[in-house]
Amino acid sequence: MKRIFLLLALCFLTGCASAAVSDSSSAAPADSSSAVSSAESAHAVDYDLTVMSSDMVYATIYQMITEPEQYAGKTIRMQGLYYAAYAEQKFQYYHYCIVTDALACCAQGIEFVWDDGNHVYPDEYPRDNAPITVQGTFSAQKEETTGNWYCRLENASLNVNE
Amino acid sequence: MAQITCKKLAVGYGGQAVLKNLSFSVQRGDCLYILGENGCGKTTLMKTLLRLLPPVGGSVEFSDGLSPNDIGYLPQQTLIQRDFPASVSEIVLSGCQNRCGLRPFYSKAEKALAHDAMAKTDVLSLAGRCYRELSGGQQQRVLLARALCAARKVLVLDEPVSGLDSQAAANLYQLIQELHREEGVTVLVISHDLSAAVQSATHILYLGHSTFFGTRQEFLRSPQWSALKGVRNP
Amino acid sequence: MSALIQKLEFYFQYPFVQYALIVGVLIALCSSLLGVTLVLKRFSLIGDGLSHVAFGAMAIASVLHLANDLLLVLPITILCAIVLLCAGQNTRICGDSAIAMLSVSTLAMGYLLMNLFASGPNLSGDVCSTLFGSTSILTLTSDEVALCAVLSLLIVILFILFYNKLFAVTFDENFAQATGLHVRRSNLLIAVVIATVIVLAMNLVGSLLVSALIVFPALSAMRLCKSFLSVTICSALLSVFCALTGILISILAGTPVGSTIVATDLGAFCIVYVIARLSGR
Repeated sequence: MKRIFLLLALCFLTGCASAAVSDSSSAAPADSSSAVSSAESAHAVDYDLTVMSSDMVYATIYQMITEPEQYAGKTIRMQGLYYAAYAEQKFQYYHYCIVTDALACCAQGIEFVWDDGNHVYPDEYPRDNAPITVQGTFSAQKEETTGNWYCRLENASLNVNE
Repeated sequence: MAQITCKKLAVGYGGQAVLKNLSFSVQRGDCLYILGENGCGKTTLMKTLLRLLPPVGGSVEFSDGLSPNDIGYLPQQTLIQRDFPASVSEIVLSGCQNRCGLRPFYSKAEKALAHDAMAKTDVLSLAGRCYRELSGGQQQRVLLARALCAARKVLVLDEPVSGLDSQAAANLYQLIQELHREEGVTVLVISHDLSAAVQSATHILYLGHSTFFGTRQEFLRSPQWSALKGVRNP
Repeated sequence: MSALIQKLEFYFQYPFVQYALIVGVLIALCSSLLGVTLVLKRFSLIGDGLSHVAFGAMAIASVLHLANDLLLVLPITILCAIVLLCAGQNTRICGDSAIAMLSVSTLAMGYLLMNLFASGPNLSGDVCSTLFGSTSILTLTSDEVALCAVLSLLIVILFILFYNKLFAVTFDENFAQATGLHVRRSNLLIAVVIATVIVLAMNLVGSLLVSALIVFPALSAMRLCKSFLSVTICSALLSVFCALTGILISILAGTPVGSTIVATDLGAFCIVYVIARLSGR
């Protein structure tokens, strides 16, 4: 139940409270063509988290959630565990890619929209906790009422890693 | 003129007196031995004289231009010091700390003073050595040099020869004698070494069932001395 | 090997990695400087105790939803440090058990508070990260980086200014007091500085592992060096080296930062121990 709550809380500072917040400086330069990436689609990706160590993945996602403006419109590629959550207010399912830190005690999730969002749940989606790779465009919208940022990967491709 | 005067002094911990009603005074150039069995309150008395403990009753007065900062102190070795990584010169120089006030580093004059003190106690050749690797006698001489850096008027020595072999002890006593005679330092020795006391003391404070204070000659005629001698040579 | 270097270059482009290295080095430097004094005064456990106090304080801060929890954590930890270090010698409960009591009770109260008034959705994550500092160092805000840097530099400057007094008080407190040094005042200063170092170091290794950062470099240096000055310098160098190595290894291998640094410190200690044994010291 806690886990689901975590997911519903979306990306609003789900991280470790003690670890405090963000980093005001600009995001790292877009890269990966020169880097270690072997992924064929790497040239189109601004932030390829699949080639990073778990510490770096966690820290980068933390940055995205706390400084979303810096990352808006960038293409993100990441690996994580699939998780679906049902939002009762909106009568629909949301889909997340979850990553944990190296100690596996802090978890962060980023919502993604698979292609145009017309895939059928649960028939086409993987089971919960399946390892997946997601690549999509980072979007951040401010909720006027709460002032919280709402972040997700849009128009995403979804691959199940078996 | 008296440098240190104690009037009806009571010493102890936490308001509870171990020793009561002590009255004695120390003149410039005296060599006072404070004698007594273990547990009679020698160290407590010394800590009170050094103002590490407040007196439980009575008073300790410093006069003749003596301030508490003029007292050098040779404490008993603590457990911490036994494996303390420090060089001899660092330790001796730390005796100058009370001259520094808020100044963070030692001046040239203070370094010269430390050099002088090491020469006097014959540890100059050990200056760069590590303290924990020295013999017991050498360590005591290093601490004596540090005490000399802290003060030239009064030295308080707490059981200076405990743990030393007889040769090292004799050397240390000789060094203390020299400092007393040649430098005119007032020396207070806390000890239970009677023979050393009757050899080199000018005054003796004996703490026991009945307290004695007086010159060495007076002590040798005192009932306390006869009692002690009786115990020693039946 | 070149792949590793390439990967490091790639990571170094991220500002949070640069910040982590800077803050990590500064914190390691501060903790090692103070560590020598703490180890020599037989106060090694105080670091452990105080870090638990800091955890309790952090729990209170997160229950109260404070924006900057350092503002609460620092004063509370400093207060406890003063109580432990300055009053410790005269109290009825002797130092050892006082520390044990304080540290377990603050740890328990802290966890209890967080559980009862859980503020965030990720309680176990909060607790775990505070205790083990998994990636805290990589998720600092620029404000926190600035605060850490300023405090660390302040501590280094204070240490240099008070180096000689610190030596005198550490080597022989009674002598220092008898010759007119303000021992109580120096102990107060030591307590304040130690509390600050521990609160800072929690960012790096988490509260359970803080005392490793304080104790290991000092112990290693004491095996190698023979004067107080060389021990201090050696311990500072070792600590900075181990912290850097630990951070780099952990971001390359994806291991928890805090435990990796402590493991590096432990490794360094073992190597130094063997070297000292072989050279007959």
